[in-house]
Amino acid sequence: MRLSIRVILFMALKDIFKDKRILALVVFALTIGYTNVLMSTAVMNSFIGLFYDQITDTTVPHIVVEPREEKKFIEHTESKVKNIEGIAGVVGVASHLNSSGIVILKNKNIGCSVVGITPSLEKNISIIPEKIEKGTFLNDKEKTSVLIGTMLADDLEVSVGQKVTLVYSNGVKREYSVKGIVNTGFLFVDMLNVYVTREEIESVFGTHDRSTEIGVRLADRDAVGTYKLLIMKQLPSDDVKTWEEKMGFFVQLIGVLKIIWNAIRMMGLLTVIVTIAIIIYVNVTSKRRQIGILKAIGARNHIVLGIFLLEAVLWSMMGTFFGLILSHVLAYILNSIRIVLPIGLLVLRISSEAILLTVFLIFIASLLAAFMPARQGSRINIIKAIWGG
Amino acid sequence: MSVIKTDALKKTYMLGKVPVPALRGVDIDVVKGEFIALMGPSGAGKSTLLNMVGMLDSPTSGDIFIDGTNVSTLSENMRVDFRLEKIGFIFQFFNLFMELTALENVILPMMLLGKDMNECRRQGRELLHVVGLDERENHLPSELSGGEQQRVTIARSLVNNPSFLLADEPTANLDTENASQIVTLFRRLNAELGITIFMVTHEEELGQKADRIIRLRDGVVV
Repeated sequence: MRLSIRVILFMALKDIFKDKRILALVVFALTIGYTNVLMSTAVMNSFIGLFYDQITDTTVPHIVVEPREEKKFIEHTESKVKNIEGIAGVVGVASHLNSSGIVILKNKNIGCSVVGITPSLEKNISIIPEKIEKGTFLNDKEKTSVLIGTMLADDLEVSVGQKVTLVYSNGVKREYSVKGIVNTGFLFVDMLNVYVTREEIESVFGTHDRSTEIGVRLADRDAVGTYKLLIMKQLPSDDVKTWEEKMGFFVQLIGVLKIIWNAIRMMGLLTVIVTIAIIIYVNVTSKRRQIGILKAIGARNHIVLGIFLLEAVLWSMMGTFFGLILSHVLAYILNSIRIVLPIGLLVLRISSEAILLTVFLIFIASLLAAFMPARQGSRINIIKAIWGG
Repeated sequence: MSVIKTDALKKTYMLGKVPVPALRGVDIDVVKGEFIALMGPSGAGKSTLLNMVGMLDSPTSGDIFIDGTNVSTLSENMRVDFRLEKIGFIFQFFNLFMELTALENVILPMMLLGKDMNECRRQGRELLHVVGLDERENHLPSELSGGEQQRVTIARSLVNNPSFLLADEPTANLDTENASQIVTLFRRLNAELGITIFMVTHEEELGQKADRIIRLRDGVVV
């Protein structure tokens, strides 16, 4: 084959740069399309990442052991915790003894989830100890203090040092001093949770070495399936669930959101495809005579096809380049103004995987979009093209 | 030696289901160094014959020989290559690439042949000199007059040292002065460089400048 690449590159570059205004418009359109695809990917990934992180860091550890349906408690918690701690890859284990309750201050009664924790172990499975907005965290032996979620505290209009009354699900009513306010940024924790020590809640329910859940944190969250099986072997009499199974509804919700986001992303991609297809089609249509001349003087069909395909690729490369810059600028601006969602602070991250995937998608989309009109151009009948038949 | 030879060349177009004969058995023979004018009234088959000789279209029957090769039997890609190497095209609408400079337009066929760029430029400049456009090599077609554009087209048609030039009404869109310059250029190329020229024209005065006139009427040579 002759040096077709040189002619293809030469003609494509000449055509692209012949009209700077059109070039600017085309690149602008493709930049917007690329930015749309990349930003929607970044928003989706950042939102889902934040949601999953918040769930596993504050609410449901990677793996949760619960009593079977017919039982209220997991028995012999301490030995079970020790067994699980012995599994390689498990980085933290802690048990909770939970209850529902009503927290009361003056004339305000608000339903809540009472979480009985061992404060010294809690850091092994959650970030709650790091999220004390005001006041301090609990001590293991503390029996007269509670921690309270920040939104719940706002609803009660309670502050650190004030006394609240807690009514447990068994009817026991006790008074506590608010030792700290928990602010995770995660709606479900901040609005619902009251934390007491395990020792205190055991005394309320008159029980020992029992729990309502054992939380397990893994070195690798994605390996939950494997570890679930390992723990199930160790604890055959209990119910072992992954965090995804435990949060099934929310994971399904995220699945639906993913579909919607992907649809938006596909629309962005479609915009790029249609833009390129229209540009190439218009280009081919307006250049019929020139294509005819090029073929008449000795250009094979693949050269004409190559010129238009390369133009599409070059346009998409320019759109990708500027889209990448624009996406990073937008992400920087949005992160600067701090987007606080009910699930926490959304920090937009444009991952290299997302960039590579988008570049690949746009590249393929450009070629696909350009192919039909480019092929049509390459197959133009010379006589009709030159003499306008 | 024959540069262009046709043997019982026929071409019939279909107008719906109605066959419309454009060429009814044309025999021509153009020898090397001849300047031929192909003339005839509208609908005589001039353009059809030009398209056949230029390998832009295929005959319904008959043969076309260029430099002794029967091009009627060549594959599409071989025809393209044959056009690139053997034929220099000059069209009536100048048909330059508007985004390319005069020099770039001239050397494009050489680039298609894969020639070295320095060699392309050297040859391109030489041909622009031949057609009197030395100073205009970096001008875009939009910056050239109609006559100058046609001279660039002529330079382009010569760049691969073709066996013959195929000119389709080369002065049809030019004023008298520019038309005269183009005809003079053709005569000079033919006389000084021995270039074979096969030109379609409807202008009797222009036709008279050729060595020989082939007249077509109703698809046959008269």
